[in-house]
Amino acid sequence: MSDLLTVENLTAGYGQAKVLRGISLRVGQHEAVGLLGPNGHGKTTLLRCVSNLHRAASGTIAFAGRDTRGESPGSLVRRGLIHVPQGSRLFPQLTVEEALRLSASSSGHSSTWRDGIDQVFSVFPKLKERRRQLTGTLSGGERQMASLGMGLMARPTLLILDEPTLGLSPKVKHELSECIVRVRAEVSSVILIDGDMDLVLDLTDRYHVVLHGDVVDSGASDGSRSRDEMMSLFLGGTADGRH
Amino acid sequence: MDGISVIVTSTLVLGGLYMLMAAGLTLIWSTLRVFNFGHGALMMFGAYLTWTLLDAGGLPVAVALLGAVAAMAVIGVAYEFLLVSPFIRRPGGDMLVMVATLAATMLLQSGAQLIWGPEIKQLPPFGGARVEVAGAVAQGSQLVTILLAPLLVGLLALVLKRTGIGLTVRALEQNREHAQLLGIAPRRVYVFVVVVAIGLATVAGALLGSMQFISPGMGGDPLLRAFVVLALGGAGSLTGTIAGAYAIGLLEAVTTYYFGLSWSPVLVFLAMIVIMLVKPEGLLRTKVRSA
Repeated sequence: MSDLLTVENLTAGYGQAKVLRGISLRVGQHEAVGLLGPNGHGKTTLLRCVSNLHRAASGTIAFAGRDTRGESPGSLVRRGLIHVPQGSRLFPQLTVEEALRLSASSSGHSSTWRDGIDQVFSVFPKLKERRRQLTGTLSGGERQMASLGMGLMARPTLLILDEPTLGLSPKVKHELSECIVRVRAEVSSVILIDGDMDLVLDLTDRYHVVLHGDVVDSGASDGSRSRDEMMSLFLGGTADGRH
Repeated sequence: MDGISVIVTSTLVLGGLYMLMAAGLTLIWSTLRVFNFGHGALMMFGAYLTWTLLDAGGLPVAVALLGAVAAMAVIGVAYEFLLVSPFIRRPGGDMLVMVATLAATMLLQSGAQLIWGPEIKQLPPFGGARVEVAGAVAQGSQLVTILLAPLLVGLLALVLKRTGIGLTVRALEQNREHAQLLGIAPRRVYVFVVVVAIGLATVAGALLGSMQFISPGMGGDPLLRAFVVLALGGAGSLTGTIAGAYAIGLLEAVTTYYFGLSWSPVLVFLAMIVIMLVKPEGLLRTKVRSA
């Protein structure tokens, strides 16, 4: 099996509410896959299931050829599956450097954290300036950088980025997008969710559109589908009233 | 002058005992988000174990205490496995854990009654050293309490600030979900925290057992005082805990001296109610930590 991540017929929800309805997905080695679609349709839940923060009701997930059922999030991290969550407030009372070091040690790379931090500082020069600052005092953009930097410290083979540019001003967003391009170059495989469709299509090889907990459209991120077609796909999905 | 010197000594002793109890409670609170009602009973059990090692084992009191701390660490691991981890991840699990710790209190108290019988025990003083500073006298276990308690709690603060496990504890405290995504296993942190907290409670139990008596119900009062300390210092902050412990110690010493033993708890808890009403986040906290 050459795929790094395989998700098959996954269903999941919270209590009575079904969020994922038999979704399937795969990510190859050295491949970046984008997930598009409106908020509240299951993208984040899918990623939470992949990193075993949320238990799926049925279906299978395999990472690097091994079923992940019953595996702890920590074990997945040490196998190289790193999830950078959406809008994390990080660890307000830890400094940037402490947070980065923590990510290295908790993923089993404590002995090489200095090399890791040099790499992170070369991708995010701003974090180097802020290294002694508490993460709780960072701006929104800097906080995202720290969050991505922590992801890199864990030496991912699959890096999952959930809405890295959420809530940022256009200028900061632009700056962060450039960082994400540099992050992409450092990591073998990536799953990217972002509200900025152009960013996702620019950075990924393939995309999936997720609506009502299932994939409704897939393709190469080469612009063969027009932006208008994409948008109508989104709206068509919301117009039929299902949640 | 005589009154003041008595008050100073008893403030430092009571403050020391309360900080040993409250430091563990605050550590458990900030990581597990539960209040450990079993803490007083665990303290009592630690005191009895120290007594057994001393009486039956014939060990010197300090060695007996170390042995009791080691034994209580094992009990701490069992405590976490049986009472915390089966419930903590369920919806509303924090409530279940609190009820489980209440049940543990009864179990430990009845267990102690069964094992050690109804007659009251006492530990000998920890050494016979005597120190007098400006009229205030402290000797034996008092002196050990005054010095050892801030030393141990200070050491704990240093471990949290400087070591890898300390960093892990702080991270889990501040953002549980993201900590898990970084690969931190909450269970290991819980075991560490529970063991450290119970170790400190054991020290408090042995010290109290050498100044007063050991009985199945001995943990009740210190537990309640430690609760007031948390309310005062703000749960989750060790600096607040140390300051709060001395403040409650002082309040108790002063009220006991001037109004008598029976009025002191009334005034201490009255102070807690006022603090809860006026500044629920604790006196030293500027604002409640955002969610």
